[in-house]
Amino acid sequence: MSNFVKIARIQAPDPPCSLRREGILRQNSSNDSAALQALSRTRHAATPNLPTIVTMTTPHPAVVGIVEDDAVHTTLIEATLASAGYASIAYDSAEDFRRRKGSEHVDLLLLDWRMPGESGLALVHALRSEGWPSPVIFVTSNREEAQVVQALDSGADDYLVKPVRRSELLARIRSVLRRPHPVTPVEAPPCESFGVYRLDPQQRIVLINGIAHKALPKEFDLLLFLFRRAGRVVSREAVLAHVWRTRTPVPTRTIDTYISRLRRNFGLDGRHGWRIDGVYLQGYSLVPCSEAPA
Amino acid sequence: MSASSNSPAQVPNEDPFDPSATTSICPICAAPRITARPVLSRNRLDEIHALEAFRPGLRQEILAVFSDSANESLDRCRQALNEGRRDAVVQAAHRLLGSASSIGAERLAGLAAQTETRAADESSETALCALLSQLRDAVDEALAAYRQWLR
Repeated sequence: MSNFVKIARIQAPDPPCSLRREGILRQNSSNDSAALQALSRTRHAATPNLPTIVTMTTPHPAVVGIVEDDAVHTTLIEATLASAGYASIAYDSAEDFRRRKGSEHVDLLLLDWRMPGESGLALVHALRSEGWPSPVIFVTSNREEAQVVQALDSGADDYLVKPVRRSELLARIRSVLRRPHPVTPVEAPPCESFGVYRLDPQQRIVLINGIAHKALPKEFDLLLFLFRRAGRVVSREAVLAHVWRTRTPVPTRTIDTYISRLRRNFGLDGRHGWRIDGVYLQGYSLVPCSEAPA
Repeated sequence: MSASSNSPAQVPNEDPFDPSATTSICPICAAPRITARPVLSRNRLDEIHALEAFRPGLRQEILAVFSDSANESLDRCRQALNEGRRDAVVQAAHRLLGSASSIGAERLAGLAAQTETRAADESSETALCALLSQLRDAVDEALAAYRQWLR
């Protein structure tokens, strides 16, 4: 290997990212670019029929995951990625990837379709359902149009048929990595309705007959707790555990004060069809007004 | 099931990298069989050779990995066929197809694809046995050609 070319082996950095195999980066200073071209010409002259591989002059930070049960294909893909400065992590099955994806970050996934156990199609389905944002390229022997369509509709970003040519694979990787990949937002918890009352957990707003009433955090939590147990008696201990999230006794006056606030500020004194009743020596109960207090 | 001893008769002095048509005789029905695919693709071998600059010893590594993988896939095909598990035959043939395609073993890849299809469409066991025999020969042929290339 030429002295002009420095090759650095990526050691596994600190957790959580770890590499099953080391990636190879080609580091070049601006002075070495001419030397690289000379090396390329020299190599080409020695073996005139070999394709000339032009390396990138800047290291790639991207880590590519390879999910593939065929060791031959994995080995060649690893070498191809290394030739372009990518690091790679190999997984021999969809299950292997699932086990390790929490601790090993990949920027892009190269995925086989047919594997023992879970298929690549099922994996990409599951990943997209979870909101996994990184791009996925299928690399498979399946070339049927219906399967290509199915893969892309399931959430894959691209599709390649084996055997994969080096230049095409790298061009498609660059292409998908250029695209923005917004993280799928976590679905907001749904609003809950109780008669004329509607509680929005995300905005912590209480709507009464469609009119919004701002609630303090503990007021909202207590409201939601009581409504979800409407018609039942809830003890002070239960209120402490679920709303104040403590088993340490809170002064009785505090809970009483909050109950009074709910009655006054949110009409839970029977005005809107609901009433909070105190149950002697037991706790509280939120009941519809048609029911007599305990 | 034992490996077939009836290797297909080949045209003498066949170049394993020559993509031109060659003729062989089917050991089962003795009919001429045109094999238009090379044993190994020269273009694919050149790509592998070029990648060795980034992964020293790659060509030897590929030989070892392919030999293990192909023989394992063949054994799985045979065992699955004996046990009547067609889906396992399909799986093993598919894996062999992938390995063969990766190193440019086009003739082997074609046979593996044919085996995968025949196993999936309920072809007779006799036909599948014949295909497995051809697969065995094709694997040996590909390995021999690869070793020849390495020298």
